[in-house]
Amino acid sequence: MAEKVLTVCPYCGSGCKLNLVVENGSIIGAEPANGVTNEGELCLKGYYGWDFLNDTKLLTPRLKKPLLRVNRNAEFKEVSWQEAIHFAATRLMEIKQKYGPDSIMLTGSSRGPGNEANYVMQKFARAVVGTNNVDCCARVCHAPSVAGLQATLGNGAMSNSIGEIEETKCILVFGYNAADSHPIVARRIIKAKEKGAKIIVCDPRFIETARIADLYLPIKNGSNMAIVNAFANVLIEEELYDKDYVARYTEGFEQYKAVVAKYTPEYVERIAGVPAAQIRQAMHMYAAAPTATLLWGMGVTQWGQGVNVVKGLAGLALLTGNLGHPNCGVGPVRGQNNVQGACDVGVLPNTFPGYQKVTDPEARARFAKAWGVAELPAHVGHCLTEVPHLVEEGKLKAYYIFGEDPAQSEPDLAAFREAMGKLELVIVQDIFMNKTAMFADLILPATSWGEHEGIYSSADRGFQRFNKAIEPKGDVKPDWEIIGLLATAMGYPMNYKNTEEIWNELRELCPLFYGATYEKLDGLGYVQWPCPTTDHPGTTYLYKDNKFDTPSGKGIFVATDWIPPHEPTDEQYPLVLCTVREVGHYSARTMTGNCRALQTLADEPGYVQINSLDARKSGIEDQKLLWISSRRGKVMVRALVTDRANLGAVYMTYQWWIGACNELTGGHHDPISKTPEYKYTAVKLERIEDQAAAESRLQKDYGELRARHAAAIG
Amino acid sequence: MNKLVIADPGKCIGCRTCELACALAHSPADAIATLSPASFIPRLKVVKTAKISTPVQCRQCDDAPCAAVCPTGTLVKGANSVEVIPSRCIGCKSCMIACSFGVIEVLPCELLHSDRPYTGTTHVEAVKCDLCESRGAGPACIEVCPTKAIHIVDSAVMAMTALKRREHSAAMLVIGGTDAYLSHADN
Amino acid sequence: MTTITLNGQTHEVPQGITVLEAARRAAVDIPTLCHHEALGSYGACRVCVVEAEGPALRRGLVAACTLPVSDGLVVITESPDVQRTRKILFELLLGRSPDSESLRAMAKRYGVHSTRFGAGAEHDLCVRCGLCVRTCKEKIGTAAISFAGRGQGRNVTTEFGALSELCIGCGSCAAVCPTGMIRLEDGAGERAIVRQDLTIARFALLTCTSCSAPVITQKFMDQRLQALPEGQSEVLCLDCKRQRTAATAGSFPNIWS
Repeated sequence: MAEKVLTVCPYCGSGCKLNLVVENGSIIGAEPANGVTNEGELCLKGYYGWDFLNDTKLLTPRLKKPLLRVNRNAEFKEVSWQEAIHFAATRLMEIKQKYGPDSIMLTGSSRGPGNEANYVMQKFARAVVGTNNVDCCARVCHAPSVAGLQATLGNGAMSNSIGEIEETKCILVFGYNAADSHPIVARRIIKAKEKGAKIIVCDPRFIETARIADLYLPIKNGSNMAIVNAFANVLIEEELYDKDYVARYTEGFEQYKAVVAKYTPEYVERIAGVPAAQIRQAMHMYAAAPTATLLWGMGVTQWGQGVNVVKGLAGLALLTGNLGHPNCGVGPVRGQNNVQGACDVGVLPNTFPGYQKVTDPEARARFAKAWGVAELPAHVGHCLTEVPHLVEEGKLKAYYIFGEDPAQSEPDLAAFREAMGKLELVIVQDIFMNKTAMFADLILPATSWGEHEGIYSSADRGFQRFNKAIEPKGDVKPDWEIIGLLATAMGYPMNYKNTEEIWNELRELCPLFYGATYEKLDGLGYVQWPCPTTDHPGTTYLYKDNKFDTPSGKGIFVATDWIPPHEPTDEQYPLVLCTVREVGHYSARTMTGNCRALQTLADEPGYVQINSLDARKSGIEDQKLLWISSRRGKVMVRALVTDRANLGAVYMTYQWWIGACNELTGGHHDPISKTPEYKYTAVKLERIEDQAAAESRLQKDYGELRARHAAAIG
Repeated sequence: MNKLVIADPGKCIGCRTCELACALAHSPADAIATLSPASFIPRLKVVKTAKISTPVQCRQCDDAPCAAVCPTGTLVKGANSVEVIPSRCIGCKSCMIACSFGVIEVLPCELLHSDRPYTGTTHVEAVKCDLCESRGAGPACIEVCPTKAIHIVDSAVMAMTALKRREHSAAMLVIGGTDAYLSHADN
Repeated sequence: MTTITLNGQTHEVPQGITVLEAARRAAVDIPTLCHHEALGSYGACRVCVVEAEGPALRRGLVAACTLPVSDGLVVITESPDVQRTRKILFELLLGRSPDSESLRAMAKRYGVHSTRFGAGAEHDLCVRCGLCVRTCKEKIGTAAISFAGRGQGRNVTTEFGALSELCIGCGSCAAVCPTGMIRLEDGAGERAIVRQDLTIARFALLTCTSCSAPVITQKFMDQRLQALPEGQSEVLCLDCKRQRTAATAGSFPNIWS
């Protein structure tokens, strides 16, 4: 008899509810459930992204036992949990003793583990290790959005809900490809259009949403700040902004106006490559709409100026009064299924759970008391993306990586690998043997989504419960339990009975989340924080009555000058590489790479999208293999010749291990958010004459990569 | 009129969930465990031109060129569609060449029916959209499309469209008079 | 309607069909090699042999593909005699074509893993089932290949063994061949239909008017599309056809607003 287990999809931040169909202890299918965001729909990842739980070994094998090796050249040996925990605890304490707690870096996981496990990890980092060096992949994703929105509006999350996208009268999509990142959000955009909304798209590439846009601005790669300033310029100069709103609910307008004054559409035409008239038309449309919503993604955040562009976008919403009521707002659509959650529960170097600052003595005292320690570290910790530099400088000695694959997702992978090699201790806690795990001294095998329960936060601040569907195979433990054992072995007893206990502890410490109880989240329950009391239903939209969460309670205007992208192209590297997503795989691909249907649809080495004229110039033909290289590295990839890609730019997805675009990208990052400028790397293409040899080399390399990972487990 | 499954390109996001659902709906029940690029045979293919994304599949032509050129009676007019009698196919591919839409293919049986042992005769089969007639819930592609871009169109839907368009044309006449009609007709 | 007994069960079947067809309708397995639904009964390979007995038929082994159903016919498809005979038949076939993977797979299914025949004799992949010849003649209407010779010398060939002028390059012969003796070889814009040492025909392939990929032969276009009205003779590859279909999809009536 088949049983249905209600849960939440582990892939993107749409938070789709689905039922896993379980028979005889195995999952045999997935069906959509009527969740608040997905309304009975799923994309191919939701429908066919579960069979990795059957340990298909298509890409890598599942971790089934703790693995330890005496040095990085030795083979991994299976060890007992006792031995593994003992080793980890001993080494961590040694390093802490010798170099100080800040020589240790820890990560949270924005995917399968869930909020409770992440809460336990940051508690471990702070109360047991004694450092704020804990971070999650928001660092390489929407950290600029969090920073930019916190500075201007006071809350770093989406201001309105995914469902409201359908009802808005104008959607301005900036550097965001909903079709590939969040099909369920793309559905809402399409529905909005059906209901008469105007769609404006700003993107160098002709993305799916551009196809249905009322206005498409093909902005040049790297012109974001200029365009956003020009938008502000138009709204102000043409007096399209809501003067009353600005006067009553905002601060900093005069300085803002002064900075954007020079960014007339005519001035920006040259920088952004779009006609001034179009820039004006965009703002006419945006300002004229009764309600308008801004949606953005990595096209805004993965830049050296990401934080400032977000501040500029918030400014547009403030200028037009598109905040504080339904169907409008600012929408940084969070990528991973639980990156919002990882941030919510404080796996960030500067905040405790619930966005309480580590630099706030009152918050520190409260958490210290709750956690039974005398004090907690008071200075902001390091970010994930700073690890290579910190290792070079001798400041980091140990790295405890949990549910994250930086050896795949960090920029400048050659530099990353070098840094990993220099660390004295690398502990990896994961479900699959992946590229990062190959650097470990100790590997701790955890339970996967599907094998444990907990809470995820979706992109629009919605808490949802996900459930256990099958028993894990192998000698694995839930993440929170592993961290608990480690903490206990290091002298800090941590013995949670279940995730609900963890969640309740967290709730007591976070006024923002207090009302989101397990009970309320039963079944299809959906509670968007803030939810301050148990009888509060949650908050669909923020800033009601135009009260912002800034110290003054007002929205703050911040404008900054445009600076060009960091790495220039030249004759040798004439094209710009921009890294993007694809819909059929997710992120570092450790899960979807082991799903048969998804692997059938798309496999190594992945594609590079090239405009047909650029392709012809380099003698590249569609579907043929080629070399792509930057000043840092070189990989083999397959050509997808399409005029959807703009002249002068090429696009690769970051899922692939052979066609790994992060071998090419560089580590220049935004000074505030430390988010790397993935969107602009100078590259060149090289045609491969002997395609047959290239194809067989591809198969050989791929086979060897998989074999190495399989062999590591033994 | 034959029914047909067709997509609205205005809603397609090119995710290919339909292709997977189609391929699996026409494979043995446990195909998710054995699927490979070779045995992945969807009857609809998502095509992305410079301006359009849409799945492309058999139109179930009422005067089907594929059926007209087939020398063995493999393609026959069914109740709602152009049906394939696979055992009659000799693999001449006349249907493939005749079809202007590129939506019928002739493929080896061992890929299509990996669960069936070789019986010594039919090696190849003509493959095209069959409206999922043997599937209880109807077309698999329609069921899974996250934006509900795919629809089944029958004569009632077509009649409704024709009616709407006539009403629209009539309204145009009233608004602009003969001039408006003529300039509209020119366009 | 006619009533027959198949493996002990009675079945009412339409008049005029063969025992093989009756068995297929009843989902009873009878192996075949030279049979094809589209071609007439041939009875060459004998692999479909069954035991049959009827009011007008003395009990014995008969080819199911050529035996019409009749009232009171009793058929057994898995008697010891049938199984033994079938096994010998497969052994004989394998004696001729021991290298045919598909034939070996089929034989294995019926319990035959090796053969005691054919050592030292000529081997090739052709089991003389006649599917290629019959397809070309009866369905394509070209008769570019045909049987020639008798006994051991029986072979499939073109007129005088030369490159065929009649062949249109459809490759149906290769598609129906159960052992892979006839092959369709496309490469460098050319098509060759090859039967081991004999090249049946060679063609330059017409190329796609959009992307220049090789598609099909001129003779095929001339002969196979006669049932179509004018204007359906543009040569396009499958991918370009689909691209064009997608490009015009935008103008398909927007009927679902």
